[in-house]
Amino acid sequence: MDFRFSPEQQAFQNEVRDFILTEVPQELRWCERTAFTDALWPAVLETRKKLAQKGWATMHWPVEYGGQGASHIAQTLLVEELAYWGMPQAITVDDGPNLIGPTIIRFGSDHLRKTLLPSIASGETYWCQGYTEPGSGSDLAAVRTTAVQDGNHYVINGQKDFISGAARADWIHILARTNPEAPRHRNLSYFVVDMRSPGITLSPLDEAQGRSGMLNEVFFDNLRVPAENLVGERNEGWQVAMSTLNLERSGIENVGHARSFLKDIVTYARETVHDGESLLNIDRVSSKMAEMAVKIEACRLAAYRVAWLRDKGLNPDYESSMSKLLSSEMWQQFTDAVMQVLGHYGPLESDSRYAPLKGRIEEAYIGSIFETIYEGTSEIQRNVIAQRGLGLPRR
Amino acid sequence: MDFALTNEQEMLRTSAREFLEVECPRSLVREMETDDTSHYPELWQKMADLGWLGLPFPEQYGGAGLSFQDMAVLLEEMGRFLLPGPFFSTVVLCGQAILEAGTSDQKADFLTKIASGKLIMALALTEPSAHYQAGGISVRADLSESNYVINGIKMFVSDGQTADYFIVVTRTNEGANPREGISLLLVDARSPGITVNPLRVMGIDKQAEVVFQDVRVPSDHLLGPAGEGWALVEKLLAWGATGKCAESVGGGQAALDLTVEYVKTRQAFGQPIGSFQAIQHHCANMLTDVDTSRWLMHQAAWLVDKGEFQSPEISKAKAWTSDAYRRVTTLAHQCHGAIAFTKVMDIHLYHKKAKINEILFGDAAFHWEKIAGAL
Repeated sequence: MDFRFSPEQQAFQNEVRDFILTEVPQELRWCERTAFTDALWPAVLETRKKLAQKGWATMHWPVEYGGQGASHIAQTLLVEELAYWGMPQAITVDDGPNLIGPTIIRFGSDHLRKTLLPSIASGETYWCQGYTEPGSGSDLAAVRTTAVQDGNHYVINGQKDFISGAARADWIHILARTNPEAPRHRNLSYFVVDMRSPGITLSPLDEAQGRSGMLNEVFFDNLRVPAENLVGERNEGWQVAMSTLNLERSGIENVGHARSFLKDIVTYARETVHDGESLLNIDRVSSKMAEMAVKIEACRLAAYRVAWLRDKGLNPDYESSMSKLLSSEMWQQFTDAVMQVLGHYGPLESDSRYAPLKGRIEEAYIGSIFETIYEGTSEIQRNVIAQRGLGLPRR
Repeated sequence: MDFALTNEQEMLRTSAREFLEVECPRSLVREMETDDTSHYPELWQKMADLGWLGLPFPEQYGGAGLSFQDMAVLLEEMGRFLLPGPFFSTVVLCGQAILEAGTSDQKADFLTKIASGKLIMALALTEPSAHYQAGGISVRADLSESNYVINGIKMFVSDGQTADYFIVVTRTNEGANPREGISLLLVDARSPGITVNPLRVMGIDKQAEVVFQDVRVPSDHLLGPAGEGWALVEKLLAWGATGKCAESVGGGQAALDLTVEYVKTRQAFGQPIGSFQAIQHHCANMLTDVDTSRWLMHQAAWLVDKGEFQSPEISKAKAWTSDAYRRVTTLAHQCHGAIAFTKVMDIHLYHKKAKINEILFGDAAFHWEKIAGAL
């Protein structure tokens, strides 16, 4: 075993850091709440393109599809570094290079590969994911959106819910029911849809942590999609979606965030003196921080293990659920621990001149609630671990 | 990064598992739970024949010259089968300390005997203060002509009742810093003035109080430099903590395996209880704890091999694994229900071992403090 990054990977890490510090506008750091606003979105797009120009966004793709054939360990390192410096999700966990691209490479037709992959690799298209519906969250196969074939098109009707980034997306990948007679899991098909198509309307949702316009309800009203936009076989969309979800379940962003926050909160605690005593000298403070450092390390190894399995050609299964579960729960516990250390200063919003850590903790604390819900709740991840990791029976 | 065992390590693991399955059945473990020493000479000799007792020593001392990462693979299997006896004390702790700090005469003498199964050793480190910091060392060793004279009490000495020889951590000088003035001595357990009082502790571990009253030890029995022994103790703590993590990973895996087997067959409400989400989530939490412990442990063992005994990652492994093993065995009990609270089943053996391993070489709170110091 070996737990080091190779010299090349270390050099790459430095290169990524230099890039962020010199070429990414400062206001993109820790901007999750405002990344989708008119004020910041152009800078987000610009940064995504720069990452694409460097070849980093799709570095883990095979060379024949415009990637660099880089290891998943190196790609995980990239995401960890981007997250460490507070890049928003639209950059760190971009759906195009990370989810839909690899899905099209694996299941898509030559036509889809030819027409869609180049614009993903160049950072020109921004993608969102349309699986969840008002009645099908954890029970994903309960999709009610229908797709009925009409000549060379499918006509799609229905509603998707909690769709991240929909208002800014050029494309969406969705699950729709193509055979109402067939049993669950065998009646779903996977489509890619141009968001500018007539028949799509959006309704933004305001989130608890103050982010606006990022989550959307998406309505399809007699939306016509070319039949060639089907990914994989008709009625076999469930397998395609499961493969996509497996790619989604990585915990590395939360590890990057937590490592960064930990460094800052330790500095803050060391420099903050109450009644003649540095906060870091108080046992309950230092023990809590150490406990969190342990959890972060456990999550980090779990995430890199997933990447390593991918590099070995072994398809990580329950392991990616474990990584997602661990890091999302860690991030909740961690933000709460930081809140406890900060006491009254913790809930101060970022515009307060008294807010420590530039007020980042207030947003992170509220935002962390969503982590254990989206991309598969903790309960679903535990089901996956028990059933696929340990072979326990499904009811 | 590479998360794979080497082929040799895979072979070591397989052969260890096959051997222990036959030679260390849980019936033996149960027998040893009530035994005075947990030492089973026939098994000990077979382990010597396999080369396990000399695993980390060079060939010239009858050893196999393997790394600490290899040792961790073996310890994981020993933890899985709850191997009783003084292997950890003799080889992982005392043997490695002598290899690290001994004179060539000491190495030739002690290591050869350990490897061949003729010498059992124990580390006399902790005292009634029961912690792992230098300030806790108060047993005195005063130089009188060519002898050290030892006085004081060592407590919670693992395998103290079985050992032929002790490594005793003593204070030979009072310095400004408690880390100064520590000296390690090789002490014959039969020396006049030594009283060994076995302590009854839960499970298969055996510990003892060892009382030293004017015990005279020739000054050439010093292990390492006089007064500068704390550096060696820190290495012992790293081997001890990481080694206990490896045992705990194996024990946690075994408790999980037993649980999964049980919940797939035990029926309630007309179906196996393993189909209920409440049980599945307990099992998922157990697997998550075992897996994370395993990688933290391997990372710690890798750092030990690189000589980075002070790395906070070693403390991270021990802090995490200490709690994880206990959580796993608690949930194993919960999934089994009342039957495993009885000695009809074996879960209780693991649950007891988890608590002992949690405490040995520092629990989570102890290691959090060390980690905090490095933040």
